[in-house]
Amino acid sequence: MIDKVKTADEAVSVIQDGATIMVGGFMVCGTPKILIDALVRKNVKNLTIICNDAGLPGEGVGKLLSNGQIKTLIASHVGLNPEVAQRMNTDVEEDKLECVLIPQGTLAERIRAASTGLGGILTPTGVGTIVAEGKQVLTIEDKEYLLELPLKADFALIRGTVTDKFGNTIYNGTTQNFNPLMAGAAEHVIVGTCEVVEIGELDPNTIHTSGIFVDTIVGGEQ
Amino acid sequence: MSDAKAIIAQRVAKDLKDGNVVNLGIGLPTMVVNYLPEDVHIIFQSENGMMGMGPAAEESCKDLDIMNAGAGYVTATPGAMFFDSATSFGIIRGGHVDATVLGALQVDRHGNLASWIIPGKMVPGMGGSMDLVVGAKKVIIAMQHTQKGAHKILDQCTLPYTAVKVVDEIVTEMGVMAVTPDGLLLTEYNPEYTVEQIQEATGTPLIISPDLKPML
Repeated sequence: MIDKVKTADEAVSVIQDGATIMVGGFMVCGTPKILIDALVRKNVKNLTIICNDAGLPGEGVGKLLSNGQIKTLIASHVGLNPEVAQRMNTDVEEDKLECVLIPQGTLAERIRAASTGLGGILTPTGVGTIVAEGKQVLTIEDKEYLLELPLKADFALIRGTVTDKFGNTIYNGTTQNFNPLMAGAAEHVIVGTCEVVEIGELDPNTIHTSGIFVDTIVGGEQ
Repeated sequence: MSDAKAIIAQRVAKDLKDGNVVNLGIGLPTMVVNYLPEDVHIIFQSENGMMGMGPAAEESCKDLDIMNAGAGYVTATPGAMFFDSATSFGIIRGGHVDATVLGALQVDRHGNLASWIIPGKMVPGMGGSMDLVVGAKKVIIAMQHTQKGAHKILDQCTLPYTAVKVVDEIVTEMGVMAVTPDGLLLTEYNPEYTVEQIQEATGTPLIISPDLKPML
């Protein structure tokens, strides 16, 4: 059995400059803070971060932003972190942030499409808006849909509540959000989890994410 | 005008029926909860992954794992369920939400909505709003009638759309307007204002309902 349990610094040691990283969580709820902290320590730069939002200043992916590590942010809502607007509008070229906004449901489905081997999804969301610019519109039974393509990443940093040593993970409350979707959409998946237990201790009925998706497990998440 | 928001929230509450599945936007719409009659039980959906959301959590016993879409700690009612974001938006786009109540920057006579961006000034992102207004069975816009006197209800939105032809009803402190194929129909009014005043505060001709009545 492969030993997947590592320290946070060991876990993120495989992440290099320029990587595309999905980060679970919704306004930091369900974001793996210990993995974010390790990424800040490693200080990798020019990252493309895919996350529902920009967290808060100095919290969640906001920490990576404050530390100047994000080149491109792909998110659905960034309004609660004023640093996003500051960095988008800065004249200092090396600090400039590119921000790509995607409707939340479309973001979820694009990640799920990548996770589940779909060539894209058709959604009515965004039809007739600037979100539709450059996208194929298909009419099915007299209704218009946008073709939205799969969104994948090199790494996914997800947060579990309980994880067994195989990687089987359970999410408590609303910490679930994007985590189980991202677990399938990245080449390499690291779960920061509150509690690591032995294989067999979790009731198979209650597991949200199978251990087959998880490459590395880091305990000690709060 | 300080009670404008209270008037709006109180009126929107009358639209929600016992057993409805409802998603409330951030800000003014969340105030609607305070005005629901005791015998009306609404199942609140929160798009970050929860059906059966309860009131805000008391500071002393909040669960850090249970948050609403506005980043506030909330409670789960008996019968609640948590799910991932794809399931949550499947519920929304799939037409399983009876009503959504959202604020707006602009609404026009065609039911077009602009609520997520002022180019060059404010780019917060659309969050879940584009999915909500496309998917919910009824879209209620709850907002102050004007932006400090500037028209928000227009012939045609000038800001980028959140979605086209999706709004069913607009509730403001001045009245209630239904979006119809002929334009906006004023169905209810706040007796503090005359119909002329309401029309003056509106950037598109209002059709006055023959059954016009007080809004509260």
